[in-house]
Amino acid sequence: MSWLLLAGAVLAEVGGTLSLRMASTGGDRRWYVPLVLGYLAAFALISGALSLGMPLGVAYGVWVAVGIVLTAVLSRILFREPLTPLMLAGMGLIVAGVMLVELGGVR
Amino acid sequence: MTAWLLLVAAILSEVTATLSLRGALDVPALYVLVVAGYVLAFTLLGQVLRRGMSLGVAYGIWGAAGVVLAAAGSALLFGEVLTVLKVTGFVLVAAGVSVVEIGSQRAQQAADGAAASPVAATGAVHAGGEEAR
Repeated sequence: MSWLLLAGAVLAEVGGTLSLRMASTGGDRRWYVPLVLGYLAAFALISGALSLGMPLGVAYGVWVAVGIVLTAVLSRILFREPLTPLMLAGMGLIVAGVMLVELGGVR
Repeated sequence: MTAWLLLVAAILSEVTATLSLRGALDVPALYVLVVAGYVLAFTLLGQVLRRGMSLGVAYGIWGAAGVVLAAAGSALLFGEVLTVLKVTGFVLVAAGVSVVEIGSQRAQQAADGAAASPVAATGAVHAGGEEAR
C-alpha cells in the first residue's frame, strides 16, 4: 500500500514538473494550476507513504530517482528534447548516486 | 551560461529550504525560510526553462544536486553520519551531472550544426517529415 502511495506521489510530481515547463515556456498561466495541485498531491501522498512506515531514505531516493528518469523520457516524447545515449548514461549514474546517498543511511 | 547560473541559484534555494525544514523542528521561525526557499527555487527553475535549457537536463541536475547538498548540509549542520556509501553516491552524482552536461552540449552543437548547414538542414526536415508520417 505504501508503494502505491509512493507511485502516486511520483506521478503527481512528474505531472507538476511537466506543467512547470508548459507554464514557463508556453506563456499560458493556466498551467500553474496543475503545477501547484501536482506538487501538493505529491507531498500529501509521500506523507501517507511515510506514515505507513516506509523509511524516509527509501521513499525520497525512489521518488527523486524515478522522477528524474520519467521526466527525461516524457520530455523527450512530449517536447522532443534531445536525449542521446551519452545523456542517458549520465542519468543512469545520477540515479545510482541518488539511491546510494539515500539508502547509504538506511540500516 | 545565464541558464546554468540560474540553475545553481535554484539548487541553492531548494537546499536552503530543505535544511530549514529540518531546522524548523527546533526553531519554528525557520518555516518562513522553507516557504520562501521553495517558491524562489521554482521561480528560478521556470526562468532556467524559459532560457531554453531542456527540462530533462535541468530537472535531473536540480533533483540530484539537491539530494547531495541536503545530505552534505545535514552532516555539517546536524551532525548526521556520512557513510562510505553516501560519499560514493556523491561521487556518482557529480560524475553523472558532468556526463549529462557534456552530452547535452554535444546534442546542442549537433543541432546548431544541422541548422547552419543547408544540406544537413534539408536532411533534418526530410527526416522530420518521415517521422511525422
